Amino acid sequence: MDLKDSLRQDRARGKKKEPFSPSLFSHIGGLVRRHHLGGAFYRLIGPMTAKGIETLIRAYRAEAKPPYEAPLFFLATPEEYQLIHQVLTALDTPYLAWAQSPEEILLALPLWQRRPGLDPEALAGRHFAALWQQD
Amino acid sequence: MWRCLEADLEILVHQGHLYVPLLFDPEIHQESQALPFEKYVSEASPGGVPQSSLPAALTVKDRRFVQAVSAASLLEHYGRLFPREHEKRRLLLREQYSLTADLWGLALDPKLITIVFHILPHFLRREGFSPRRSLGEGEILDLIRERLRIPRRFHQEAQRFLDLAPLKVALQRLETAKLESRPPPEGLVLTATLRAWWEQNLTAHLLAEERARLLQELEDREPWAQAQEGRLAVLLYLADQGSLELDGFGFTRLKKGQDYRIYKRTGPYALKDFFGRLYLFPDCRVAVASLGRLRPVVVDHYKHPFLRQHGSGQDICLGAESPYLTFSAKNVIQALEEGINALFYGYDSRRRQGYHRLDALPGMMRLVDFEDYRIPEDHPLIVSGHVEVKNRTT
Repeated sequence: MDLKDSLRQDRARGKKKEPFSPSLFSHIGGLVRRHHLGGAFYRLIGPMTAKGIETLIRAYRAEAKPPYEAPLFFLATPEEYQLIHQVLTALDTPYLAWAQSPEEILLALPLWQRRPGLDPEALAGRHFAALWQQD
Repeated sequence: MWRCLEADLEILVHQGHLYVPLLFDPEIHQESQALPFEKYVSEASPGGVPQSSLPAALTVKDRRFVQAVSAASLLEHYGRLFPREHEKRRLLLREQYSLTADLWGLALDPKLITIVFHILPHFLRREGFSPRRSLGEGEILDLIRERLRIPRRFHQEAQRFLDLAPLKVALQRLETAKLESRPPPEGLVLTATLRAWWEQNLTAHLLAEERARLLQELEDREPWAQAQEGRLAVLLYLADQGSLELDGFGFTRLKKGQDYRIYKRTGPYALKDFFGRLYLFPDCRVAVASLGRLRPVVVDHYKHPFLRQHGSGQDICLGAESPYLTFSAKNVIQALEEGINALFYGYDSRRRQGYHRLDALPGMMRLVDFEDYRIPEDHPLIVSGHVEVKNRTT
């Protein structure tokens, strides 16, 4: 490919608009503010026992995925920022981006550890509790 | 900022400036690490002196605040940002202090003043006055009064207007109101407290404005109080009607807003074609609108070599060199005269000017025909001198 074609391709690529998606910070921030989550919620994340997970799964496996639209931008109060930062540090999992409720935030890491290969469509359409069991 | 004031927050007020709590996202958090946060020291506390430059960020009890707007600007710019709400508050205050009834003075539109006192005299036939001497406002109103029948109600209105007592009473009522504004509370304050301060000061601000308006009205009306009632009745009549016609000059208020169509009648006139034949043109109104560019148009359904077609409201062809004129007495007079001169003297049967020719040359397509305007040379109007042939020399 000569320089002219390469330049033309670069320009064409540059013109393409990419859809804007909110950052993970905004995604979790929106949930934190919507459900008024605080320090008590963070205390639940750390010692997430098998029994705790089981209770959550039993309670929510028949539930539909709650609707949620993340804010495009999110500015947090110092307390909110601390909690979001703690959640993002403690739950290092790609499934967090599909969590749409506090319960799904809690289940995101165990679900990823149990079933790491779930496709985005399933994660976006079904409650994490419903995805716990193999289909 | 207004949303911040509506929320239940604690904000910091420092030297008349508002500092809002710093909100975070990862980028802001990173940047704020490098930002020097000064510790807030109240001016009232020992060692707290007013600083010449305000810090961009402050900390109070480990909480971070960043500088937003000045408290005074919340008052100054409220009217610009929320004109409807501002006007509603003003109306409520007027009702509260009974300023709405019988106070409305003669709010004369400045354009109407220009037309009546500066343009109309130029076109007015004046018997008994030297044409060189410019007429005073009183003399113009007298001239109009002589030729117009002013309805009785305008005389009654003029009498009421000359009575300054209600205005003075309204001013006295305002004197009793608290007009002084207080500085904003200093330090950490709840938005509710700041809102209360803002409400109070905005009221004082609006009342001060109302007082200034009433004082101005009193100042405007006092000279009139000494003038004759009849002259004032003329002005009130013109302000109400928005239209007048005298000696072929007139104006009418346009439907929307405070703009006017100012016109001058041409009267009938005759033009000569290449073969010396005469064409009698009927009277028409050449007008300009006070809105935007002043372009002379013929208001009536009319045809002329300098008009594009046989219709109404057409621009008169003035050539490419016509200047861009905006509303002023001098410019309106110039535009009207240019339009009339073009109709009277612009047509030259030996040149190709305008859109059409009076005479039809063989084989020529004619969009506008002037045959119906043809008159014999010994037409009584021409012979008697009632109608002038304008392009006699061509």
